[in-house]
Amino acid sequence: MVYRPLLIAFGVLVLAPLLGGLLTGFDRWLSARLQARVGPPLWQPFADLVKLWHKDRLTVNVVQILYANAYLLFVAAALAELALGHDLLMLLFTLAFGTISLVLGGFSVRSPYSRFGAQREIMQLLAYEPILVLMVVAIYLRTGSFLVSRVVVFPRPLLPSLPLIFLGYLLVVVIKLRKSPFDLATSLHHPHQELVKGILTDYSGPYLGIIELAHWYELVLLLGLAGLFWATSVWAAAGVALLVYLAAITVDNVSARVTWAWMLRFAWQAGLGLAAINVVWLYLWGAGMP
Amino acid sequence: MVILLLVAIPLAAGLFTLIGGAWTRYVAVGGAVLSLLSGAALVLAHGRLALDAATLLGGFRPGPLFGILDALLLAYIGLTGWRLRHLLLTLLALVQLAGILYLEGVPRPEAGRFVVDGLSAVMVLVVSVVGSLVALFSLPYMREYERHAQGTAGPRRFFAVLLAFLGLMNGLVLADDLHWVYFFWEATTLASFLLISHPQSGDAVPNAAYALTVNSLGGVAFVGALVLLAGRGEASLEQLAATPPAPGILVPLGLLLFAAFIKAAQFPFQRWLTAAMVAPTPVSALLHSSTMVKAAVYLVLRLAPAFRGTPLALAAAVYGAFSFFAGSATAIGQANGKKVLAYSTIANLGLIIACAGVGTTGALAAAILLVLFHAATKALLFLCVGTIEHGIGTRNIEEMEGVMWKMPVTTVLTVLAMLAMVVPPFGMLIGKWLAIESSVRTPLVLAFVVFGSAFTLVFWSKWIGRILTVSYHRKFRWERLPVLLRLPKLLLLLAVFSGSIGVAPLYNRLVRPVIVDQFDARGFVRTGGGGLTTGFGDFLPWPIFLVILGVLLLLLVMVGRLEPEDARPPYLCGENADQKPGTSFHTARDEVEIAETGNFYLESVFGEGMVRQWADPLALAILLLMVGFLR
Repeated sequence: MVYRPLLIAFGVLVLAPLLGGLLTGFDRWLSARLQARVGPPLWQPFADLVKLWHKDRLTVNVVQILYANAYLLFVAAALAELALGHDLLMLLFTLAFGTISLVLGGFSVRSPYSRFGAQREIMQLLAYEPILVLMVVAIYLRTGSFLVSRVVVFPRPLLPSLPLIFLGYLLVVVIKLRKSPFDLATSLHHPHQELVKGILTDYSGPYLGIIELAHWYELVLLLGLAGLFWATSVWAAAGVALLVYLAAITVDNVSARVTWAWMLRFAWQAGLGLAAINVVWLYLWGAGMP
Repeated sequence: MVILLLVAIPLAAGLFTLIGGAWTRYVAVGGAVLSLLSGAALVLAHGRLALDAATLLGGFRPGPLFGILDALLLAYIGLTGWRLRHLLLTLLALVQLAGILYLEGVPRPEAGRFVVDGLSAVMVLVVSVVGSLVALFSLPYMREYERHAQGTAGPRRFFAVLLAFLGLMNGLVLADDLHWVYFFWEATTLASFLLISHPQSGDAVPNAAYALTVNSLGGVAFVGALVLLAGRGEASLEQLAATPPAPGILVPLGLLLFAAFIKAAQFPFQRWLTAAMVAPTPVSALLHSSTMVKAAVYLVLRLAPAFRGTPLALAAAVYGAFSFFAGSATAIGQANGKKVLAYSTIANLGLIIACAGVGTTGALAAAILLVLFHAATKALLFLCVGTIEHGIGTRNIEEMEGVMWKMPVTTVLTVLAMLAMVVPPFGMLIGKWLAIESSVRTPLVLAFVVFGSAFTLVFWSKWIGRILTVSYHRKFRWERLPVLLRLPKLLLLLAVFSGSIGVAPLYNRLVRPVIVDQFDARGFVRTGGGGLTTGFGDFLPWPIFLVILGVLLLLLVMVGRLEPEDARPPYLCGENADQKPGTSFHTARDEVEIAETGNFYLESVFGEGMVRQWADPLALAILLLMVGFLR
């Protein structure tokens, strides 16, 4: 059927914000409990979004709206590519377009906070992008394809042969979800950020809502990618994704923010180092792996 | 006919500009453009063509003529070295002259023909289309330039060399006789010297002499290869490429590659290209990004079948990938816009060389796509930066803040061109995607390409961010530009966009013939669904274009609902000051301060000097290792 891909993409793009919002609510509830607070109810993120949507439409400049929308649509497009089984490398490029849109949104304002956030967001991109590409390369070396549609039908789970890559990916998730210790460019729901709200300082109302929505898509996308590590059954994939999320929340609650230079060094030394070792394994012994 | 249109008429038009004033220039450029474009169309319409020069010239064999031209050229370069007290340059010219005279003395075979095939068709297209547009752009640009600059070499020489260069460049990519290729190679080097030294003041002449000296080193290597090949009875580039690797053939091949690396300004020779940025912007757009330096990668791609599968190929792949990595790293630390463009050019040429070294059908396809898209995109960027420089009087990125208000059209064009360098669905990214997927079995190359790509994202997004900063509440001022300053840029942008959307037909028409020429097979890259597929990956540009369209539609809807009073000044570091909201604020000590912002350049890591400390020795080490592979 010709319309099948369209239906799948549509379904995923409608369901993803629901899932993303619930997961965010869960994060806020769990974090509150870990900090001995009561915390908001599970559906609080949806209430927040509705509230933001009904606020005054205030902007600092018109192009901000462009960047917020571009961020949302490109992250959503990357998620659609994942759902439709397209090329993983292409997916990373699309996601990077989304991130660059967010960066440009920060840059477009003549405010020190936004711009600092934007510079740091670039540094985050620099820190995790090579790890992500190496992850995709490792998946290719193991499965012989860059296509998600082929990776998910690979008969064996990937985690046993890509354990170090998986650790590197955990690091990427923590950076990408703006969790402590890497909540450098902006923090989502913590009150503690020395850059006020960093890259998002000058967004408000519906436009901040658009970015919030994009974050939900991004969350679902990142957890979906985590699921690829055990894609032999849906439940296993969901389990891995959930574990990754729990790990990120835990790290968030037990660590303090670091500087961007520290993050870059750590990501390249530890994250990339682990990923590179794993890739070398695959080059040397990939053919004989079970 | 093809040679007449593509080589002879531009050369003649160049000579013609020498005799008259402004009107002659317009006529000559117009004539050359028409001739180039019709020649390119003819090349595309035909398939493979082999044109014997003797038949074309009614029995006259032009072989000895090229020897005389070589000697004249080298004598001029040698004298230039003498005049500028650049004795090394004179020495290098003399060494080449000795080699050429030796070659005239010994019996040697002659190919004596021009060949049009897939690869030369790609190059002719780049030279003729980009060259024509840049030449048209130069007409109003140089008039403005001459008005501001003092003591230049004058517009006559400029246009004469520019037009002649286009003919020479086409000659280079069409010639099959190695001796002729050498002549055109050296002639383009000399054209580069004459154009870099056009301002005649400041650094221009020393920098031009430096470029000429470094490239003469490559010329010496080229002559060395010619001498060795003459001894083996090789004269035709096409035959040389088709010969399976034989003992001893790797030495001349290595020398030719060395010459190409220098002309492509790869590390550690990159400084001649960054020094060449003193030239007027059309020169940078034409010679130093889209055509002359592409001659270098043309030679590498042309010779790729000859060294495919040898250790030389692996060394070239690693070397090119390293230049991509080091060039992208250096670009992060530059605040001079033209230098960023130059380092990005060095990096992309390195990527193309790496693809040629990797040598699979997919890598070759990636290299051709990169040649095409880089030429159009980078030429466009240079033209834009040149326009901005004329508009605001600086090429410093930090001072480009607010250019959006002064020249909105140029800024939008610039930003689109920059985006076309780094994000999907544009051609450069299609090339990079294919390059990564094809080099996945060559770990070291892959590692350099992965890091280089991440660096690329950093320096482009920084620059885009800087020029797109728009402060609160100001009115656009609609810029006025002569049509010839605007039209070439629009056409280049159109080419980039349509090439990206129509990558499937582009691939079938231009890229596949090269692969069929070199491999006698279609390769694993296929077109399908409006994009490219490899069997283990796919790239579909059109859905991303739809997303971009969606973003723009949403913007229109949302802006339509916006009221003027919805605009607010940004949060600075305290309450906004009343006089200038959005730029100054009340500090904690209740003083009014102006908020200033700037970019990271991380010069302690990515400064030119810092990168050179490790990149030059490492690149040299790879080159020396390559020498070990020549046996």
